[in-house]
Amino acid sequence: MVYAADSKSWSRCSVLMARRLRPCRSEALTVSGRVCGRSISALNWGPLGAAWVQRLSDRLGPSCGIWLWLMHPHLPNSPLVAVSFEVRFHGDLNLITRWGEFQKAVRSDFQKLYVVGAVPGTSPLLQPIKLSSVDNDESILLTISSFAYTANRYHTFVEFRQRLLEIHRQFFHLAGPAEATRFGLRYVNILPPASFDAGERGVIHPALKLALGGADIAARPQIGQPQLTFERAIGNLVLRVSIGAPPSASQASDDFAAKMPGISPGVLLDLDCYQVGPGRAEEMATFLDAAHGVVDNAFLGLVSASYYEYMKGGL
Amino acid sequence: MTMGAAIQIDADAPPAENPRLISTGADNTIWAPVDGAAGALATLFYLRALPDGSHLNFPVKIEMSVLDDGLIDAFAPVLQLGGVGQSAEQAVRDLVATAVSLWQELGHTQPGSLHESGAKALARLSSVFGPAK
Repeated sequence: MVYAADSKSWSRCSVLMARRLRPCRSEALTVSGRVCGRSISALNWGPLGAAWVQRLSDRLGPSCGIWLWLMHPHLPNSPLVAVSFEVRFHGDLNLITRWGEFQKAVRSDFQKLYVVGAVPGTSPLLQPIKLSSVDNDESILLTISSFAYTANRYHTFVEFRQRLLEIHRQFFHLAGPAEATRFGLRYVNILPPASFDAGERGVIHPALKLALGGADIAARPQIGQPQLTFERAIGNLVLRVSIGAPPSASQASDDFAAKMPGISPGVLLDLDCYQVGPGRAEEMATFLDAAHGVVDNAFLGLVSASYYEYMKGGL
Repeated sequence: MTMGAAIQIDADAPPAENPRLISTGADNTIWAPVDGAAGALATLFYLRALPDGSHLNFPVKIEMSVLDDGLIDAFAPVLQLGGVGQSAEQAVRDLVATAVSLWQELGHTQPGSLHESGAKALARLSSVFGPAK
């Protein structure tokens, strides 16, 4: 969540935070953020945290905004595998010549280059090229109509946001300002593999609160992982939720999962929040903060209490 | 789509002609490495049973990564243990062997004689494997 607060609006800020804290109020949450453009150190959230922010707000005065992000406690069994931001724009063939300059600018951090094999029925110009870090923890996808950044080791939204904006600035410095046609922020999770027992009816996945209902067929025994995708409008954003088989990362991954006894690739939970329509590159930060809030709320609203315990490392 | 059909790529194109969701590039995309880059491996798997067939109390998340020297690292955050190998399979086997060995070793130590960190490690291992035999 991003919320600008000053001493006058502090009471509203408190209400918003209390609402956001409810799903895991027993946890000692961590708060970090920026004050007047400067980062502040993280601290354990609790009654003292509220008092601390109040004191800070009083000291800085009403003209100084405080931006706060609430982060969840460290979850060793978190299913998150990738966070990706994508901006699309009108197709521009000039970008092909700029890719080389961009690669040169980021080569120290993104040393690997990947391309896609020819896909029947897909134009080569619509297939992306990928620049990856040595450890594959970060990657950038480029096409003539899109730019995407993905982090496979996601620690906090604050870090992700900062890194993305830095890389994006380099790209648009070379590519020039463009009118965006779509912004997207995507959190890809891999849930544990599900085993359905005969007594369960209509369950989509044991980790999720979602269930099938309203038809006789939903009451029949489950014999495999259901796959579904649905979209919901949230203000001017759309949240697309996909559940099902995880995407294949490579032939090596498929071979490994097939060969190794007891290993499973898990079940995909893909939360993709996007905004379609004309937009300027400068609006990206606003979109990011809003979309992060939507995805965060959706994830916490979807997972069951027992799965949240599992994420924390319990049974 | 028929052969030879024009593809409009802007967002105001009809939905069926829009580019597919490519933001992670992992949607069944098989990447061809250039300049000797190694093929990517999925970053997360779950271990449901040991190689000998014994079931675990709950699926253990395993994070996979490729180290600088090309070796594969398998890390189980809930156990705070890792394994390394030439292949993903070897890395997971190394991780499991280390975890089982530590679980048995710590489980047979006299109660009260374990250091605090050892007791915590045993608690983590027992939550996955059950009480040490």
